[in-house]
Amino acid sequence: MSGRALIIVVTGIIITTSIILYNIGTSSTKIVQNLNDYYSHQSARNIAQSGVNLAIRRLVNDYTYRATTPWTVDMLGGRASILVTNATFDTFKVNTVRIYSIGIEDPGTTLQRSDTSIAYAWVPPIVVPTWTKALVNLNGRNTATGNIEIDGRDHDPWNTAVNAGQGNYGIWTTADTFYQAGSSTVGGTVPGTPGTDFAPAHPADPSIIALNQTYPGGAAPATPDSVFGYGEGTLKALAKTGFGGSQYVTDPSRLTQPFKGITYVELPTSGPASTWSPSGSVKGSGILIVHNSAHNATINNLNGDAPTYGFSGIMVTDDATHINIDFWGALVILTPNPQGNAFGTGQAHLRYSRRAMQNAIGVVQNGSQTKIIAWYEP
Amino acid sequence: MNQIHDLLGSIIIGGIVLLMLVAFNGNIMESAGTQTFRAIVQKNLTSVTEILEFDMRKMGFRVQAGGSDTTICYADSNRIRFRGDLDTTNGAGTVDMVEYYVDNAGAGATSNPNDKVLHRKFNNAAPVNMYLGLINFKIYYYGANGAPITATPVTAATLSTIKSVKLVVGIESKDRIFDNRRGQRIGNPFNDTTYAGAYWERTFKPQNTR
Repeated sequence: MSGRALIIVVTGIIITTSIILYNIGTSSTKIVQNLNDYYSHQSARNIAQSGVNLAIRRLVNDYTYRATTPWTVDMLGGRASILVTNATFDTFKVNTVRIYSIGIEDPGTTLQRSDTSIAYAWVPPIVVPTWTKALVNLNGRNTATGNIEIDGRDHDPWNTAVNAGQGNYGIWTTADTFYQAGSSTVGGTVPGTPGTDFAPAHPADPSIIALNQTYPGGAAPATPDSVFGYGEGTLKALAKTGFGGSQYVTDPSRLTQPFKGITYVELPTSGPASTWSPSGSVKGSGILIVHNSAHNATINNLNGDAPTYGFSGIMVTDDATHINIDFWGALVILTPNPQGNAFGTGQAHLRYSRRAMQNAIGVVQNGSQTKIIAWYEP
Repeated sequence: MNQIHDLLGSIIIGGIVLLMLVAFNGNIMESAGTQTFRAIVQKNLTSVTEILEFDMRKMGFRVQAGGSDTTICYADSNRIRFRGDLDTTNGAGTVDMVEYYVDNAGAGATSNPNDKVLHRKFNNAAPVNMYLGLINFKIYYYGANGAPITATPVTAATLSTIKSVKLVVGIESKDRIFDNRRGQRIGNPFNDTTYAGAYWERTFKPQNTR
């Protein structure tokens, strides 16, 4: 009898212990689940915030960027789904975007957790750098030939539509004349509020070719950095970092297309290597600089027809001959002694574009353009 | 004679086995209790942190920079009062005021003599009292570049320079675990083996105060 009792007691204890162990396991699982849940939530939050930051970065590089359908990015073991839309926020009624980022941790699993970050950013109005007086800014006598069209009326990048009254001179030069040869046409906008547009014509209306001009402060800029008002060497240093696809080369054959960020070509100081003739057509955006210490770096036969090729942004070169590319933005030729015949032997279109310049400057100024005005995390 | 020996041997061995099982069962039960307390403490901790994070993340939202009122209105080592559009139910765009502080009022309701009550006061409503076994609630303030602001309460002139806030929260179980292994630390970071505990700290860098 005592043996049976012992067996019953032992069996009872084993059963009781098993139940307790099961409960311990359940508690442990709950603790781990609680921890995992907290971790997943934090990760989702980090992803959401990173999504906002990624969108801000895109806005810095591209003023016009919007994502009305979700931009999805896989990162940090999860996924960010980002919308960038026009919005208003308090007193900010225009030039404001709303960045709505959902961070999803472990998407598509039972452990999926999500969190949201919302940021309102002010994307400043287009401000044209004060040194860009026209579509083509010259420091000496020059010539347009062939069928080139130089249009100082305002356009959006890669777009042929004219933004009425917002453009600038077609030509701005310190010289006493600008030769308009062949069938070349020049148009532009006489600045004002709004400005008065003149379609490209041959001969051009003299009011959109500004002759005998003087740079504010006197001497015309002699280097790319002085054009932008930066300390000497800034643009080269930035290009060398490779940020945003920037390139710095002394041998132009090593360039890769499309050009992005700052494309800085420093040519040898003696000919013929001081002249760069790109082989084939060119495509790119941002800031294109052709310069050397002797101030005689020349770009020759720059070709490219949109939409496959072309350039959007700001080009600064010591000298230029035969510019035949479809171009949006502004162009600065630094030399007071140009070889002449800078523009056109073909059918190229040069178009003034505030937005193209803004986008180009936005790359350089690295975030100073787009401002976060509020950040909300539900 | 042999039968008596067998019987005595059986009783002794059976008794030892029985005692072992009883002791084992006791330990298991104690562990189960401890584990349950730990689970509760952890859950309480994450609840507190989620409440705190919910508000802290909105600090400064819609508060006009450069206005007469700063985002953080009062900053002490155990009390903080700040502004932000926390609640859209009272109208989006309305800046709210929230305050967190701790005191001992009402903490005597629990058997843990160390715990305090965390209060959350939202606008002019009566404070919400949280009895979650809070034994440590400390706030640290930092200015630009992470420089600590050590003088508390922070002076009114310095409030606008606060750029980040570190919260330190310690929680213990409200009731005692009758643990006889006092020499062993069984998961209480405060070295008190009679209560289950958990510790959390986090530095907030509210986006709207940058």
